[in-house]
Amino acid sequence: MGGNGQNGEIKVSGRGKGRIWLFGVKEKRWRARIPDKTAPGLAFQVARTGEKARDWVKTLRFGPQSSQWSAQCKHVDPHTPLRHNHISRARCRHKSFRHPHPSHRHRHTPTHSRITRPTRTATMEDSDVLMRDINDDGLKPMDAMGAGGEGTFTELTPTTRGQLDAWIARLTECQPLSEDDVNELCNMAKGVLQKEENVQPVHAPVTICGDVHGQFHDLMELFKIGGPCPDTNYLFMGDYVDRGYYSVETVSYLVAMKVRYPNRLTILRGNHESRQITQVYGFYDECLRKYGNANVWRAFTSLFDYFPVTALVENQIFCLHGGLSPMIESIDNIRELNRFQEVPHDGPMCDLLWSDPDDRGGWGMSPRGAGFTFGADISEQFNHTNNLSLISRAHQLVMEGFSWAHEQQVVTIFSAPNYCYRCGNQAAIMEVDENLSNSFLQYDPCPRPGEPSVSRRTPDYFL
Amino acid sequence: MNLRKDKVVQSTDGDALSSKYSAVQKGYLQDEFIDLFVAGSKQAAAQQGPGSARKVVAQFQPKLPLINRGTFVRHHAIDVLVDRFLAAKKPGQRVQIISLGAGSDTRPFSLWSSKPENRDEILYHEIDFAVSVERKRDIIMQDSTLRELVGAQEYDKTTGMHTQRYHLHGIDLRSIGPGFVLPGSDPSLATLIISECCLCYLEPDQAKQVIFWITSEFTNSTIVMYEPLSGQDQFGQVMIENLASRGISIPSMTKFPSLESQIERFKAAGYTEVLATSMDVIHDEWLSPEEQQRIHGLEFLDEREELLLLLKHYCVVWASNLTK
Repeated sequence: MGGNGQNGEIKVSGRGKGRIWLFGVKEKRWRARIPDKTAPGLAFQVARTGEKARDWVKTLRFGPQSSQWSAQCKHVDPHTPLRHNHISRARCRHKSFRHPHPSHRHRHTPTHSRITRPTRTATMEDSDVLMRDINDDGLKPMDAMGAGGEGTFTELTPTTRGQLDAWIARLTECQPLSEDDVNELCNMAKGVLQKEENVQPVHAPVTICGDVHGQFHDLMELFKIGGPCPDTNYLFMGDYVDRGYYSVETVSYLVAMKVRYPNRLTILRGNHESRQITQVYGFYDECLRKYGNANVWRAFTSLFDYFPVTALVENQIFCLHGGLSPMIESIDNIRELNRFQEVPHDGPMCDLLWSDPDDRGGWGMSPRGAGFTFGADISEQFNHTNNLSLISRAHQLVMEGFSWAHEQQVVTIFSAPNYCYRCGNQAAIMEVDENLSNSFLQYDPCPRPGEPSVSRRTPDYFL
Repeated sequence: MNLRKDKVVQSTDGDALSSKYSAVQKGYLQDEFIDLFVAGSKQAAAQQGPGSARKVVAQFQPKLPLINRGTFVRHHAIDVLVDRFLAAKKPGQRVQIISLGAGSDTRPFSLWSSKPENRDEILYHEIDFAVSVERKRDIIMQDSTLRELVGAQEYDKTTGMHTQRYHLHGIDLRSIGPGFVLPGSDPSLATLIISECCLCYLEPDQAKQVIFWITSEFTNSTIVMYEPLSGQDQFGQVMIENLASRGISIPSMTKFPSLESQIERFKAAGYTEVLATSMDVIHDEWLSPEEQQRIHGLEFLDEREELLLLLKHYCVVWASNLTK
């Protein structure tokens, strides 16, 4: 069964029952049930992802007269196939799995994953629906979305979109933007990010990633392995800059993608997204080297103050860079923080970006000099209080790319393979599907054709 | 001998010096003499042209906190072991220290300046490539404090430097083997041999010859050695590849990949007391709580996992036949 759409009209072809994903205002995903013998104009029932069938709130009618549907189409990128369904994901994955080195990547699916929350009902069949590009040209901006239309959406003009696409194309080649372009990009990004919440809500499916640290080529590899953005939704848990040699290109790329596809990509703040740390760990020096002055560093570090500090996937998976804070009992405490500032030396905001889970129970002094260590008892209490199934965090190098802690209440994800070109570790990303089941994709450093090896300084050792 | 390879090995002294300099600047270590050697190194680079000068300026930029911390742990470990050796001597007893590949090390000057009695009781030999030795001698002779500390009288241009307490030898370690006589050395003294990342650059056979020379020449000897371990894991593999990209080869990493193999190495050489430990253990266990706290307070250390990984791939070995 397949679907095709133009000007707000979806032409459904093929036979069978199935589910399709529609992307609407704020790009919430809606689940639609396609009845037997579908044809254009038939009614669709939809529900927000993660809600039970009885909560289905909309009846959608395919066809030009359906304002809601056209509204939902409005923000779909015309170049983006809507393929968040089984068959297209499977295809995409199969393709991206191919790598010249057979040992390059491994799939790890925990057999005992505890994060399963069945949201399907018996009436929903599993056959696959493939929906293709929907041309949204000529549609009116849509604000009155009714039940699902909370919040406003910043419209990108075609000029801006073209500008962003040009920047992204340039960055994809690992070419930094000009200083003026960076300033413009950062201003646009501030507009997008300041509307996001301290605890930014995110919907499944989403692929969750850890530290990247300026390893630009490995970030491109990540998108090859996880599926290209925006076809796949991504959540990055901070630390885009420092240590690697391409912090400027990495953070420019992610910010440009964020502005271009604000609802497909969530970028949180890591402890390296700070003025102080970037002066020690390389981003500042790299900006000086590549631009001859500190203006780009200033633009990005002032943008970092706007990044959300945590995200919440379907009210179940709490995502952040570091860990918990003794000053934060509930997620509501985080919502009360003023995050628009430099990462403080201590206090709750600092802890969220610096803390680490530990084998020892309770709170402990962090060997890092900022944040705390927290034990399994703390994680359990936090998850219980906030009705969470998992804390997903980054911040620590783990040799396999991911690592469970605290009886699978906490997972560490690290997405910089061979960290600092020194550590020899694998990287991983965590795919969370619409049922909130997770699976990990592990990968090794990408081969770097075109990167002259002489430009890379050997990391320091004790000699 | 491969001249380029020798130059690369000589350049590692710059790494050690710049790392120590950075750790001193940050307050991890104290070294009242290091500025002289940093200035000497910059001066030597300036004479070689603007390219070298730029390189050396870059080299003396502050290092990452993990390098500072690791450098501190390295020096702390050697300090502790040298103190352990010195603590075993009776008051007034003369001992001898031979430092292999000493480079710009300032340890002899610190030992003599911290305790005046050390000047009569510690006979110190430093061995390195002739070029390194020449530069060190020039630096010593240009500074009145150092000149006085080593007890130098006159400036003899030809033969390294030899005073009553200090011998600076321009000798290629690869020429050392059984039967070699180190000028000015006294085989009857209790002798400490320090190899801080030195023997590891030699081919295993040559390193074995040096150790054989030590055991046959000095019946009462202790070796303190600091060198990398491959650990036979990915980190070690990446380390070997990264160093190879700089032209540095460390044959001992593959020959002696683990603590066990290092212990075996010195037992086989005839040492009765052989102890080895990796640097992460020293980092976590050899520091007093006060020292730990002081170090933690110096700078944020964001890369703890990386530090421990790096430290796991270095060890110190104490091999002694003093108990015989």
